[in-house]
Amino acid sequence: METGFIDVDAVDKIIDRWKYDPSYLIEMLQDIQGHFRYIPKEVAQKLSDDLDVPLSHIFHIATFYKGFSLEPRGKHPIYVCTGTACHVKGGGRILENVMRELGVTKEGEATEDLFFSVESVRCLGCCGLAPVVEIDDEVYGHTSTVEVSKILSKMRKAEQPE
Amino acid sequence: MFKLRIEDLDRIAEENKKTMSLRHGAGRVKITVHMGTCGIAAGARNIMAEVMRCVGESGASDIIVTTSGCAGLCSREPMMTVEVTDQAPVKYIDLDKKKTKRIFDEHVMKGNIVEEYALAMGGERTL
Amino acid sequence: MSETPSKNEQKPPVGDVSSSSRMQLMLCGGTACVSSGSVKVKAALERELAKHDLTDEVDVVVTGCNGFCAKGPVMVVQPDGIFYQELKEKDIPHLVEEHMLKGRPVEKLMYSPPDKKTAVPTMSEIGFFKKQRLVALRNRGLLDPESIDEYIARDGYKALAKVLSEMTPEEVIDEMIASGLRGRGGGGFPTGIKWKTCRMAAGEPKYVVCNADEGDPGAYMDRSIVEADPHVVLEGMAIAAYAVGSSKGYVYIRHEYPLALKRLQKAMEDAREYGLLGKNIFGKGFDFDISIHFGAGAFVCGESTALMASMEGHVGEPRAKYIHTVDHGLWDRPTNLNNVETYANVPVIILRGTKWFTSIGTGDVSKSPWGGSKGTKVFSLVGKVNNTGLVEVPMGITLREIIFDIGGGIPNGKKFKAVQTGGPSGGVLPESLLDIPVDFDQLTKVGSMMGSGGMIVMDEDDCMVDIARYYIDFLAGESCGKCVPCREGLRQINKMLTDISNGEAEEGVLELLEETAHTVAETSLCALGGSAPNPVLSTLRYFRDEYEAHVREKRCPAGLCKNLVTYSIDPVNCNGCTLCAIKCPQHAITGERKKVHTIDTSLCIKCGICRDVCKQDAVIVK
Repeated sequence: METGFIDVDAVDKIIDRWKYDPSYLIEMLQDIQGHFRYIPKEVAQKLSDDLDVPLSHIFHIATFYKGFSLEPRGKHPIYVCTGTACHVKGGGRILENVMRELGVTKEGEATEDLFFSVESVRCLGCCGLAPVVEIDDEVYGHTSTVEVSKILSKMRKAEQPE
Repeated sequence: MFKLRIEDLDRIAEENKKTMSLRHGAGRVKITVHMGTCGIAAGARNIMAEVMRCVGESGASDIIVTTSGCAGLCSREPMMTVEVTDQAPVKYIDLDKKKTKRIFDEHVMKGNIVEEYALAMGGERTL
Repeated sequence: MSETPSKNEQKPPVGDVSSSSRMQLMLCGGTACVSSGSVKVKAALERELAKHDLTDEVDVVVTGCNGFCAKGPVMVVQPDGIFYQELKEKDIPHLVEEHMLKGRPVEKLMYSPPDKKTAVPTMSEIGFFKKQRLVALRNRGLLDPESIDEYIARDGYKALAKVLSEMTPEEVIDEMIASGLRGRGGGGFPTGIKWKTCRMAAGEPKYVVCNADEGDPGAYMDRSIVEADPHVVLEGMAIAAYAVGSSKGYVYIRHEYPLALKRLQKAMEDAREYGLLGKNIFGKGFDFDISIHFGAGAFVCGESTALMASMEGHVGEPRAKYIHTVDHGLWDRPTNLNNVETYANVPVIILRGTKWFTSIGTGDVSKSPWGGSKGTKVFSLVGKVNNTGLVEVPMGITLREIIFDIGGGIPNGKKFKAVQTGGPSGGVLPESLLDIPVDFDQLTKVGSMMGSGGMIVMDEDDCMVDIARYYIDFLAGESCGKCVPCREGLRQINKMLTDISNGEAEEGVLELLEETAHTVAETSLCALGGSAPNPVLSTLRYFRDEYEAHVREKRCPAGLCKNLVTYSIDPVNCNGCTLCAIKCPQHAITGERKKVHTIDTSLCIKCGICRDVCKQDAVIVK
């Protein structure tokens, strides 16, 4: 099993940014999640060594909060809002349809080619525009199953080699 | 070392009341594009770009363009408020580029409120 | 001066809210109005009122900026709500005599829209704005959130200046207690009492924390306040820090709120630049600065002890409630925690005083801040309602006014069914309760709560079992797992609700559900578990017949629970456009062009796409 190339410099920079202070462990993990799109095991180990914090503690945190994933997320993570306003306006059905369309069986999973990943989020704070989906920091409001499906195929096409 | 004295608050307020209240000819019109997360999600960035384009095109120098947070009525975003000196502000809703251009041409440049796109005029009841 | 009525006729009517005055003249003292002469107008008002011996009956209140600066000085006469504009000193004798003394408003001084040639209504003619009263959101839409100067021009940091130069910390605390301000984040605990306890707690240093980790799905007012008016949060925190004796503050904000974060950071930089954060603020020997901590997505972190554990870099597990965070909070030090909306109320209370603040809202807080709900509350009015958005209303307004007058009612001619308040810890209320006044105590009495202010409107198409299941599923996922009743109890409740929703539950399940819910409520460690059964218990209380239909008849009256409905096509409405057949992922729909289509129910997975694409409204779900 290949461990993969881990960008050690990037991790060092992140730890340095938070001044090796373990009380900012959550912030460091957020930066790591942002950089690698997940928490690689090797990075968790490095954090544990550098900060002198047990590895189990790091995994405890990484599994407790919804913002972290231990599996790589896709290049374009899709967040389907299932906050209450979105729920009553069909957010749940949008999630089901996106998962079925991408062939993803579990929330947080990525497609085989790691292009998309999909998961629900509890609330994006745009309840006035429900139902809402966020892809690549772009929030799509008043959306629908059909609408999202169109967005996804457009994104695929845009990045397909000619 | 402290930097600001209490008296300075009044001075800063005084200096800024021009943009805040528009009464002294610094600007004839103030356009506020409401850019909260919901506004941006509904397309406020495009509206802002269009406003800037219109301002540039018109060559006018007496128009103040500014952003502000959510105006509250998220279901009708994108929204913008046009305030002509000495008139009640008018809130426009459900905007797109075309509507923005028309509001700019009609209301901002000629002073005629575009009724079809307007939600209301006046201010909210604060405090 | 002619026919002055005898003084007896001018006595306040019996039962008037304020015992001392019958009328308040809200004169704008915003910068713009001051510069256009409101100080002179005020002096003239006071002189004329004294002349007619009205000083005890009519108050002159100088307000913050009214927002309609172009017509200043402006004045609103309460309770009549009459709006005067462009007042001049020479207008006042006539105005006082006519309106304040004889009760005849002076028309020529009132606001009239400039030659009403347009059909555009004024804001006050529009239901959505008319019943709102902006206190916490007072600057929304009016200032550039990235300009500290504009905030200052709207009386920003004046409250901080006032407390630092004129008030002792104890006086600030007394003022907050007298104002009756209660925590806007959910619990409704009196803010002043919290500050007092924190001030008196032993241990140094003390911390001030702002909870901006809006975890309640369906509420987003805190995000909006931080995005629209970040300085008000900083100012509120600084005042709290002065009152409790702290010099270090933290904002705990959701990682998912990038715009709010950016504006907050900009505000902090600007405030430091001006010396409004940092050492020796205003030269008054008070130091205060703020750092930001990120939330990583955990509803339980709304619980104060869990939030602080998370800030220390641990998992957000609450601890038993008998140790209070005001005594042993962040890093075991006394910590004052309020949420964004609470802090946003602080500066304006300091500037305008408790008399003004307590004139809004319900109850009587003169003896105890628990005696009522004062001020306003921001709600996120969302779901099946025409005008969705953030609304700020005085406490005591009815649910009906919020949903129908402000919200404009239910879209598509559907029927109102229920409204959910208080987020996952709140309850679902039926139509029969629409006329209760909205305040902390009333909502709790009927089995819901104020919470952070989510207000989700549901129509006849929403299934109450599904709603209860939705919340419990959410809460079961968010339970930190530390205590058994919450971890296991919610899992069992979730399973029962899923069975009911699937039509697989047996007789007796509702009784078991109720019993389990009560057990979880009574025995959980923290408020998450303690209030988690509310959605179940309130729906059972008000919509039991819907549960019974699922259990006994295996039927979902709202037509929502997937297992209990079938999809079919209405032969009358179908025009054979073939769209549904093309889009159906299961190829379950067949039919020729321009002929009525049919759904093969054995293939149908009830994904609902056909209904989404059908322009004829021909897909029936029953």
